[in-house]
Amino acid sequence: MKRLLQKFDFRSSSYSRPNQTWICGRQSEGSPCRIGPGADGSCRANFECQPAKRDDRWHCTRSDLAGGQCRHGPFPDGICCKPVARCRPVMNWRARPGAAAWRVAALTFGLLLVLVAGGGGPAFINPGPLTSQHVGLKDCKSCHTAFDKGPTAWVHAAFAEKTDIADSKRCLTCHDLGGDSFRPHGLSPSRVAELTRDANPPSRGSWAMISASAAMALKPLKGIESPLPCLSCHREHHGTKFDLTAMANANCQFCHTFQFPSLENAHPEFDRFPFKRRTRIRFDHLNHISKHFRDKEMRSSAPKACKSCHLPDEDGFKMSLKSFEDNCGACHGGQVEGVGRATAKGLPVFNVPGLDVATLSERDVAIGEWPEDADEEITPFMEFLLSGDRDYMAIRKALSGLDLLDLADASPEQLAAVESFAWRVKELIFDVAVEGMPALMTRLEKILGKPLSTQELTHLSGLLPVDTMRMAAHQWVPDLYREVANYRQGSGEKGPSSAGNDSGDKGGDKDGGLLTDEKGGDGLLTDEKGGDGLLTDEKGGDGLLTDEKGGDGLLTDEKGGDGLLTDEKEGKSAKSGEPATAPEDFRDEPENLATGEDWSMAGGWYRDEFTLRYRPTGHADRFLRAWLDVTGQAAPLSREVTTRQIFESLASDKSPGLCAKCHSIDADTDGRLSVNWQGARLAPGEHPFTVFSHTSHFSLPDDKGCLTCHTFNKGAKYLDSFKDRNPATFASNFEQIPRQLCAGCHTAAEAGESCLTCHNYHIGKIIPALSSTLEMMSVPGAP
Amino acid sequence: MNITVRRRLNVAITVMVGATLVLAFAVYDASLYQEPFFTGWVLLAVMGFLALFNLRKKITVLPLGSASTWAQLHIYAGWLVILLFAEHIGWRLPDGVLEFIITVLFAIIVVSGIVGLMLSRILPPRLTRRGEEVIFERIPAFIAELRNEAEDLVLESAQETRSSTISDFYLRHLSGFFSGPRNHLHHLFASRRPEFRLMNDIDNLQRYLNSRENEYADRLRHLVNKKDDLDFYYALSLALKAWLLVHVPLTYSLLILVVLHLVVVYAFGGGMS
Repeated sequence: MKRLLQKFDFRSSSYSRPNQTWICGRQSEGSPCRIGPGADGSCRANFECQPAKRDDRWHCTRSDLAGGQCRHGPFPDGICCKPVARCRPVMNWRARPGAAAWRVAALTFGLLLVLVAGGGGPAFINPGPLTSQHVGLKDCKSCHTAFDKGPTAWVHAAFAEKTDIADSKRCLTCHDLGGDSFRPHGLSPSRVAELTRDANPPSRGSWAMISASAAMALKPLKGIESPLPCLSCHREHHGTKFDLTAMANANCQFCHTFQFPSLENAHPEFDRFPFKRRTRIRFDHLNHISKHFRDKEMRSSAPKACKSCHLPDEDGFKMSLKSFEDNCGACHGGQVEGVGRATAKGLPVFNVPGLDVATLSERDVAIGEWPEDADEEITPFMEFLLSGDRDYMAIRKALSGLDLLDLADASPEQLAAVESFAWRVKELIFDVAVEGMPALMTRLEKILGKPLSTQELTHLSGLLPVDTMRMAAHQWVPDLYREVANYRQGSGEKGPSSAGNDSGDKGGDKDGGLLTDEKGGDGLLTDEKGGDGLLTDEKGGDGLLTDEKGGDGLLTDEKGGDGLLTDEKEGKSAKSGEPATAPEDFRDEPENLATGEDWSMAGGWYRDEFTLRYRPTGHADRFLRAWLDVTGQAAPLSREVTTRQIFESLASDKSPGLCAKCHSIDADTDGRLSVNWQGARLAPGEHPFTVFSHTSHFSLPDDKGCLTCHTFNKGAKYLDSFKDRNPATFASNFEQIPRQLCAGCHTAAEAGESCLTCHNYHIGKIIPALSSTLEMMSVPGAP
Repeated sequence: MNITVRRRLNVAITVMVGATLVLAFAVYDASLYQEPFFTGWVLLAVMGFLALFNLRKKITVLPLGSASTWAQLHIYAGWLVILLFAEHIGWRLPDGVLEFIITVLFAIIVVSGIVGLMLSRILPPRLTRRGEEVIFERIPAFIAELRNEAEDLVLESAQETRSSTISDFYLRHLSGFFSGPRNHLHHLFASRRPEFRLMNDIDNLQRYLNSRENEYADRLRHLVNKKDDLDFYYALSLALKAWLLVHVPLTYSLLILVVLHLVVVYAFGGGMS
């Protein structure tokens, strides 16, 4: 019969209590005590029984299980005669895992307290090395606002604060992303709404299950209006080689209205790529290639390939235009300079407008001298310069509709307005002639409402020479200085008389001239009472202008030769105060004397009868550009008419320089006009939505070259685009690039189809923040 | 429902739950939320459920379902938690010290759990097949009983046969064997080599014994068999209990580190509120 060790009868097997933590240490010897250890693990063993006293005798009470009553019985004092040796209680196997768990937990907690609160805390909780770009950030608080408050504050920061935006603001310390950094794409909500409205739907293809599910389920929770912290997309602490900018396509599409699997599969068609607006430089490719470049005369100058005019920019992204001289100058340079132009090659800037001098004289309108032969309207430039005077606009309004060359039927009010108008014109010419650039600058700054830099004044003034202006002023109104001085003093002035024409013979003012005063009063330049004048010395000393001893003076020649201002043979001299003669009256002028216009073929100022004109200096003339920019952008309501007049006159197809023939003009939403001086190019730091690197793709096209992607749109009415000033209305010379052309290579297995290959998330101008050298002024040796 | 069908059903449910969670993670990852936060909370919930099993075994009063049901749930949730953890760490080893320690602890707990599961599947049938089942805590007592018996037998044989052969043999080969549980690893790997060696030694001894001595040798052989059985029970039972000494304490350590990890990721990851 098989022997069994484990007995289960109550006499052989004591009751087992596995729920008790401690068992008797003598269990392993096979003789555990009946009492067992206490709950605290202490041995409670003392004797084998608790003697009971009956009839004055102590009796053993040991149970039958323990062997029954002992032979000897208790001692007379009632103490059991069988002491139980004490043991070392042993933990029950059921309780051991629990006990070990508590010990391990306590050890772990203690170690964590030491580690986290000690100096090694940051290294212990650091989730991993930073990327190589951030490896210089040694302090956790550089990025984590909660770090420097200590471990106890971390708990609060974890559960009771929201630190994502505060932490993200620390990113902006080095990465300046503009004002809307935490909005999608860094754009304002209104712009995002606009783009969303204009978004193309996906083309045919399969459904992006994961992306669409995410957008459906989670986008309402996220709320596109809520700010997006940087860590939404950029996850640090993944090692030095980790790509911080990598993002799954699904992440990009989460916010978008439409989701699609890939570029090849259901990506929206490129119906607005790469052309979203008309070209800034008006150049009809088809027209030029099919007609002009084939012209016999132009053939030798015409470009032979696209790269003759286009070259990649510094980054290899866009194809920029070469200079005007390289691209267009061979054919269009002369046009810009005015070669072959039938009308005046110079721009009218300053003039004496034509007035009905006869009527004004009859009606005794006191405007002083006025050239009878002047017959042009006031130039837009002069109107602009006069518009700074608040009264002038009222005068202008009073004169609207009135023919200034025929004032026979003018009312007294209108004649008064004409008088005021005339004096305003004279004052303008006077101020510019006498004071020069300061006067011009004062007027311009008042009108434009902003101070002008020297460079701006240089461009806007066209560096008008002082002598040109003064000579013109003198020729137009010889007595201008006295008249305006008197007018400003409130002295009465006579009615109009013929001012000096070109010849200067017709109606000089005998009462006074520029240089003398025959009535005895002080003239500008002489003193008949004997004092030294500015220019003459009656006592015989040499003066600037005369030489009584007979030598040649600057202005007179007593020996009869022509002086600068007088002609002694005709009896006229500066001393007598009669008008000086014009250069055209010089004797012995050669017949082929060049006109001012021809003389200024390289550009600059010249006088054309009663007008001072400016001839452009060729392409990119600074004067024309400055005035187009200033008048296009300035739209002061009270002077809108005058600024627009200048702008429209300079932008017309007939304007000298022909700027607007090629440089398109864009009107923005508040009516300001911008001339596109350059072709499309990215500003430094500019990040557009879509990027395309031309240089990366140059190896791909075959013999078709650029036409591989850019196919001509032969039916497009390109030039019609420029009938208005809205850049969005356009018909490109080239077809839109088909999506499948790109998708042929940009698959997951080949060139890659990540959204970030072609698209930027951060849009706009992004310039890395520069290091601030706060200690610069504390350089040793500095006072 | 037999065990095979039940097991297949449970596996299928676990796989479905796992696949659903992976899909949910993929959808969450497609959003601009940070997926580790989502996987982390799911992982923590499952780990908490797993840790509750120990508590459930201690609280028998409340009607919380049978322990066997909890054990089944614990096992399948344990398989699931491996997938969740791998998803949470992105299927790569973490770089941070704290996270690496958590990963190592988790790995040890998982391995110990799998080992425990295997032991609980393999060892009990072997215990049953061996013969008498004894209470583990009483095995030392039984060993002591057999030891006393063996020593009495040896003494008796020396007296009766007036020969020290058996006693010498006992001292040389069996005294250490009877002093306590022996040959743990051999019994775990179901090796009976130590027993066979001892039997072989006794066989060799019996060649040189007379009939009287052989009787004592046979009785001694019986005691050796019995002792070997006890060693077997002890080794397997110890294994069935000892793996918990790894699995349970490290779980608590892991939970403490997870709490620290939770605080750190939220404190420096944007906050929970």
